Amino acid sequence: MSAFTKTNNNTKTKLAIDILIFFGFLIAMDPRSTGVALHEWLTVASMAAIITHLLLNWDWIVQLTKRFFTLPVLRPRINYALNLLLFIDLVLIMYTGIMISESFVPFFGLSLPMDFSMRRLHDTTANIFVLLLGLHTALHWDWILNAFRRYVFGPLGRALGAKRASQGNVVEKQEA
Amino acid sequence: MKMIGRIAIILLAAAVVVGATWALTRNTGRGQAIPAETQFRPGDGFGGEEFAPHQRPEGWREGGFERGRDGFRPFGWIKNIGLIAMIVAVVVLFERFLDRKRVNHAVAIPSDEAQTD
Repeated sequence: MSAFTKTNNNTKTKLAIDILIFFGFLIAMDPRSTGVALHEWLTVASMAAIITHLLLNWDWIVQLTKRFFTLPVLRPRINYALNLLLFIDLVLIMYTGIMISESFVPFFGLSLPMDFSMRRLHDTTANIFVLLLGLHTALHWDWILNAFRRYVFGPLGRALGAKRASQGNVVEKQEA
Repeated sequence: MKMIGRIAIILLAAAVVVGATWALTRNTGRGQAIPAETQFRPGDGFGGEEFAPHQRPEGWREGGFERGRDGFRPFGWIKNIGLIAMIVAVVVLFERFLDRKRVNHAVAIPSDEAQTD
């Protein structure tokens, strides 16, 4: 497989997983519409998607970690710091979520003592998460747009164009 | 093997965050469970609720906390998507503005130099 094809496949996989994580979290972030059980199970399941997301971007993480203090440009540093905050916030959401779990933990026959500070921390970190997710999306907006153009809008446009062309051919044949 | 090592690093980083939070909440006195004997229970003389009215913590409703209980709200996630869209719009527009300013500045410098020559 050539390096170009590999990069393309990698970008496609990244885009698919990112879309999955984004909408998965949007749904999971609102327990009033999903119910507590789905909220908890969906969030726990999304941990696997988050780990995959980190593994796919592993090279970037390693390079930035090594060169963080020597980088001449500010933007990647802000991006790195934001990603670090996002990771910490996500871990805190998961931890506090498990501590106040009403469905996931009891499923395993365990019960945790009631803890209001965990509940408050869970709410706060969840609110911060929406803000950080917005900033994370904003900083990767150009990449998202390009990937959508290449892998979603482009093929969609070509498919629609081909369909129109074939319809046009049928009409021309019928007229002839 | 490489993959497993990377996953282990991610989980280790997560464990560090959890450990720090646990230590912090323990030291500050937060995160301590309410002893079972001091918890209010249904039928304790407070109208069947688990807390006395003046002791209800934030977010408490009859029958439990507000998580998914005080009314079904099917499209609550639209609020979050709206908020994220707003943040994206502000940041992207601000960046475009800065880029344009930088380009204009770069164009202006040579012309200024030409005038002074």
